[in-house]
Amino acid sequence: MKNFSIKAENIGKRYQLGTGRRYGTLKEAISRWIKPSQNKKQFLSEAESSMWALNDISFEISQGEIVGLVGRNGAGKSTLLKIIAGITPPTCGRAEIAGQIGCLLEVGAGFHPFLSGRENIFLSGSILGISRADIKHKFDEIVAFAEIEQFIDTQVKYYSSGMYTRLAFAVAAHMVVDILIVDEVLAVGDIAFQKKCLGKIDDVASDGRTILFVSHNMATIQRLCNRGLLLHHGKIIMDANINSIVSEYLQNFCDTPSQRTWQPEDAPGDDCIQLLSVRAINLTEKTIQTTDLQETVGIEIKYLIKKIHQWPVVILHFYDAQWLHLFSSHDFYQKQKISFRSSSREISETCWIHGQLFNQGRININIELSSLNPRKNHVAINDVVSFEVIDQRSLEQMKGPFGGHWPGVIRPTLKWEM
Amino acid sequence: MAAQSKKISVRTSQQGWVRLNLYELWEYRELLFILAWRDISVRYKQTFLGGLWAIIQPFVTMVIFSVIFGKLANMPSDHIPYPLFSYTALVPWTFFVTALNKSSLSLISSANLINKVYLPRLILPISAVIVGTMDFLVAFSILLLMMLCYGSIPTMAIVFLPLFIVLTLITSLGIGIWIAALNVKFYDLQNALPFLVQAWMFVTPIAYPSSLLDEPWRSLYGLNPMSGVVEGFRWALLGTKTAPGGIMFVSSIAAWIILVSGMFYFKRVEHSFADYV
Repeated sequence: MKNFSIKAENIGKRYQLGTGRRYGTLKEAISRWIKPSQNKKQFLSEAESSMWALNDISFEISQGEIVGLVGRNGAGKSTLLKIIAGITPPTCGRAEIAGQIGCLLEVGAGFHPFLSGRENIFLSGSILGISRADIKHKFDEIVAFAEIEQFIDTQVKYYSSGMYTRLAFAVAAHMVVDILIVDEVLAVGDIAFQKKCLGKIDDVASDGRTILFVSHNMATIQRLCNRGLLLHHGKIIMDANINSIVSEYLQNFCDTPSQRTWQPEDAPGDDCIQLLSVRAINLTEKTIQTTDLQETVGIEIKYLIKKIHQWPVVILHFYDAQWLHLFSSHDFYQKQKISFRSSSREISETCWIHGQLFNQGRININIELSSLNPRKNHVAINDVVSFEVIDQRSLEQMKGPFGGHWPGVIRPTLKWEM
Repeated sequence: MAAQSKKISVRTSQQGWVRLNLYELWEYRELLFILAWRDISVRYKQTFLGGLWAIIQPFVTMVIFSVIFGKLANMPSDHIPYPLFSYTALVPWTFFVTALNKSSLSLISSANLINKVYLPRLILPISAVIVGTMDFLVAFSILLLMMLCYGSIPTMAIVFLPLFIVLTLITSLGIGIWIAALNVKFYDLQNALPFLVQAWMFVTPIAYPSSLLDEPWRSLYGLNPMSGVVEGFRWALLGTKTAPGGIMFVSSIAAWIILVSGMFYFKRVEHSFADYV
């Protein structure tokens, strides 16, 4: 029987909604004293206007486990981390934590811009619960990790944002705790530094310490964690190994699905064209949520043409997870080759993107259907579908040379000659 | 595997009165002083006049008081030169006011710490009060200089001065902790604070001596712990004739009651800080 690290029993957290409670005023408090009857009424309405951010959360994490917390925004991930970290108490239920806990909910908590890097290391170290002696002992290591040797005595307000986050993370990375809680902080710094951070977390993990990790980056979660908890509307709906959690999340809980279908009654469009469905498919025309970066992906579009006398142009815009525009594609020239027949019918077409082009991560798509002469937009939908590109090879050889994220917004395989 | 050897901490709902957990505060003493040091060094780096501000405020007030109350109103001052008489009171008083202002904002200005890191939140107002000690030392050294100029030689009573400094600290901490906690819930307290401070100043014997009152009213006056502090400072440093025994006793008790009740109230509402700030 392994020792537990975190044991949660029926944790619930209720928040008050609406206005007036967040900052009470003296007037309210006084009137509550004077008129207890009003107090009762108010109490009732408060019960109605509250919501459970977490509800009946129970789980147990053993020592040395690396657990990823997965869920949409507002599913309660951060609240759960805060309860475990002791920042806010649960409304009901209890959690037991074995050992010292370190939390990285924000890089650079407590940093002061007017202090030098050196001073901030001590400051932020103590805030994170590292003793002064320990910081002194690890000082050089921290500075080297952050790569800011020359600037260590410069005020932090003159740092670039990259230097700032590197320093902040470096301090946090040197906490010696039994349980480490990490919330999305790896989304900072350049790719090389992110890789270094992941390496550091790997080290922490191999020391047999427990890590609870929240990120929206499925590739990172999959690489780091071995178990996952899927949160939805404040409840744990799945507790399993990380691969099943990630695929369940991508299939059913991801913000934008990889398939959208409309009924003719409410299909987007006008009396010329109506969009019926858009989906991401693989070569066997099965809908996919994830694809390996080696694989070809298709975007299949089905639409209804009605009162229109020429081919409409379909345009797809591809974006990465940060909504950086990767490229756009249209079918104008292909359609020139096919003569247009003016009758109401359903059209299906697919845009194929060959493998070895996208980099890892989420790919978001906007769609447009237009006529060119005269120019008219019939349908324009942002974020119509999305899918996740993963790197299966690097998952297999985790610590290999290409483990982690390969830099660049796209990742084409190019021909090399010698 | 051996039996669970790690220290277990429990997270559970917190309602009603909870214990103070002073041991935890002690464990976090390093952070307490580093936070205080941060604010002191930022203040002295950031402001043009730095430490001079610590002198300007009580000194200018002293000059104004000397002209209005000392010269024009001919206020009695226990046979001590009026500027010395009032400045001796203004040194601990300024410390008290600074502590109040800083601690009232201490939680709100550290919202990112409260929301993102676990720490016993009591150290935030406490460190805010400690920040003022630096200014206090600066202002106090000017007091010593003034005593030298006026040729005022302290009596044996000066050995009691540390006691009165401690009383100043306890009072400032007590009120500071109360206000910090109340300020999170009742934001409009922020507006009431300057008025509160002003009123408090007039019920504290800064511009006038408490010897204007007769016993037992004088001792009752000690319910305002700052009157005990002020009279204590005067007695210990300037050797005012009337050893303010009664006042001091009442003030000390009042100060402790304020501090302990403040800490309990703070602990009671602490759990809601992360949700409110």
